[in-house]
Amino acid sequence: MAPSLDALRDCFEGTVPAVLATVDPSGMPNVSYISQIHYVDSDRVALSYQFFNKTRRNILSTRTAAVEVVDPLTTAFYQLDLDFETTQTEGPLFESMKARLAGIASHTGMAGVFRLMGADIFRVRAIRQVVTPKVARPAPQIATLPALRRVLADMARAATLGELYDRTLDSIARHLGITNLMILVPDDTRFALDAVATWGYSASGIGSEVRLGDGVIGVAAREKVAIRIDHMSTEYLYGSAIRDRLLADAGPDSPDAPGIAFPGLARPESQIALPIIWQDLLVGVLFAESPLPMRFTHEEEDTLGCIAVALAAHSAALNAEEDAEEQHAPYKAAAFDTTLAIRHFAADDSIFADGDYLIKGVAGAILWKLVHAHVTTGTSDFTNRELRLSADLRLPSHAENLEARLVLLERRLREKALPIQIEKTGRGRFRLVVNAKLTLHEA
Amino acid sequence: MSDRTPHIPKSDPSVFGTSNRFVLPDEVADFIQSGVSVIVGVVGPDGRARAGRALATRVLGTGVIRLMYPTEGNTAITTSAHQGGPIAATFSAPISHRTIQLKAESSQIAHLESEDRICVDHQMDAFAGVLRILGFPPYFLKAFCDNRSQSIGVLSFLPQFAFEQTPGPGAGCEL
Repeated sequence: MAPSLDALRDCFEGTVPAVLATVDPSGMPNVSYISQIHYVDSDRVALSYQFFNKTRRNILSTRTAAVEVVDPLTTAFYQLDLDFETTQTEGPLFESMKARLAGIASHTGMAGVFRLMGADIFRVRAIRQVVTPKVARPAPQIATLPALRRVLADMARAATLGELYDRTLDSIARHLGITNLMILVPDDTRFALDAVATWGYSASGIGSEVRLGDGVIGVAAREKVAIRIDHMSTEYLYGSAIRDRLLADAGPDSPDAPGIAFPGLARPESQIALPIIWQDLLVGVLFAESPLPMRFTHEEEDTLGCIAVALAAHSAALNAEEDAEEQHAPYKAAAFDTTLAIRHFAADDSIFADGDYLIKGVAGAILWKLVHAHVTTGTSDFTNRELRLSADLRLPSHAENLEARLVLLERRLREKALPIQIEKTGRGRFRLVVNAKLTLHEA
Repeated sequence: MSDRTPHIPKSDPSVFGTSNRFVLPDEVADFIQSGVSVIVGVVGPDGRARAGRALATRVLGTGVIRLMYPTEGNTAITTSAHQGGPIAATFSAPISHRTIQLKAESSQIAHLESEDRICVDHQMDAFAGVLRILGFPPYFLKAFCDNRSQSIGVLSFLPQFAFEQTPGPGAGCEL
C-alpha cells in the first residue's frame, strides 16, 4: 500500500533538501533542489516558487512535476508525482511559506536571495517509497497525544479567563517541555496585540505590544494561520530592533515612548505562533519560542493548534456565563493621605499613573471609564455587561475581547503595585479597589 | 585537484554523436568531481519527470560524463538510460551553493569500472565530510556511506547544455 501524505510530513521539515524534476514540452528534463515543500492537506502540497526559471516554465507548460524527499529520521526515500493546480501569491498559505522560507534563507546564507514569489499548489497523484528505511524511527521524547490530553484536562479546570491563560501555559511547559510561551490578545482599535500571559521570561512583559503583521505573531494574527520558523530570520525577529523602529516612528514626545519591553528571547532560533480563533474571529495568539533550531515540527504545530482551539472554546464559555445578580458587601470608600495622578491620552487611550506608562488601547479606555465613574459617582462595583453596552468604549463586537482586556488590565495594575486594583467579585462582575485619592487629567 | 582519469577512456563518445556537444571547462569538470551532491532528472515511460540522486561523477577525457548511482530507488534512471533517454544532472556544493546543471538528449547504461569505484569512494568521503560540517547526525551519515556497499549502477552521457544554477540573478544562464 502506498504511504499517505500525512505519514510523510517529517520529509517536509527541510532537514534534507528535496529534489524537484520537471520536463519541458520537448521532453527534456530539468532537475533542481526545492527550498520548501509545504504540506497543504492530505492530498496536496505546495512548492515554493522563488524565481521565474526553467523549472517554473516547465511547470506552467506541462502542469506536472516530480519530487523526491527523504525522511530524515529513517532515511527512507519517497517519490511524489505532482499535478499543478494553482499559484497563490498572498493569503495564509503564502504567508506561512514565506515565513518559513525566510528562516531557511537565513540559515543557509541566502537571506536577500530567496524571496517567495508564490506558493505553487499541486495535487499529489502518486507516492512511491523507493528506498526502504535504514534506521528505525526513534521513539519520541514526549508522547504528544497523552501530553495533549493532560494539557486539555488542566485547561478544563480553569474558573476564570486569567486562570485559563496561566493554566494553559503552565501545562504546556510541564507536559510538552516548551519553556518560552505567551498568549496575546488583539486590540482591533489599534491593530495590535498585547501579551496577556507569559511563561519562562525574566520579565513578564504583560501589556507589551506586537503590531499586526510584525514578526511571526503579527503575521499569524493578520492571516489567521499558524506561522512556524525553524531557523530565526531577522526579517521575522520581533525584538529590540522593531521596538526601536516603533519608538522612532512615535517620536520622543509620544506617550508611546516608554512602553513595555517585549519579553521575547534575544536570540530565538525557533518560533511558532498559532491563531486562537472562535467563530472565524481572532481572539488571541498562542506563541512559543526556543533558542534551539528546529525545535517545533509539524507534531508540535498540530498539538499547539489543538490547544489553541481549546483555548478559544474555553474562553468563549468563560465569557458566556455571567452570574445572576448577587449582593456583595458595598465597597466603603475611605479617606487617603496618598494621591495618584491618572493621565489619559485620548489619541490612543494610553494611561499614565504618576507619570509612568500603564496601558493603552481598549484596556486603557476601560480603566479611564472606571476611574472616571469612581471619582464622579463613587461607584466601585461594575459588570462586564455595562462595559459591553458602553458606546464610548469602542469595544470590538466580540465579547471575548472584553474579558481578555480586563485580565490584561488587572495584571498590569497588579504588576505596577498601584493603589488601584481590580478584583473579580463574580463571573462578569468586578470591583475597582481604590486606596488613594485619585486625580484625573485629560491630556 | 582533478580526479579525471589521465588515460584513454573505455567509453566511446561517438555513440552520443557530436551535434551540440558542450566542451566542459576543466574548472567545471573539477568541481563536479569534487564530492558535491548530484541529483538527476529523467523522463519516465509516461512522459512525466522522475527525480533521483547519484553518488559520484567521473569526467572522461573525451567529455563523456559517467554518473555512479545506487540502483535502489533509481529504477527510473536505469530504465531511462537503458532506452537512451534524455537526462539532466545538477551538481551542487551545499556550503557555497555553487550549482551547475548539465543536460543531454541521450544517455546510456555503462558497466562499473575500477576507476568509477575509486571516484565513488573519494567523492562520497568528501561529501560525507560536508554533511558532517552541516550537522547531519551520525546515523544519517552511516546510512549515506552504506550506499557504497549497495549495488551501484553507471550511466554515461555527453553533455550538450550546461547551465549556471547557483541561486541568484545569474541562475539559469548557459555556461
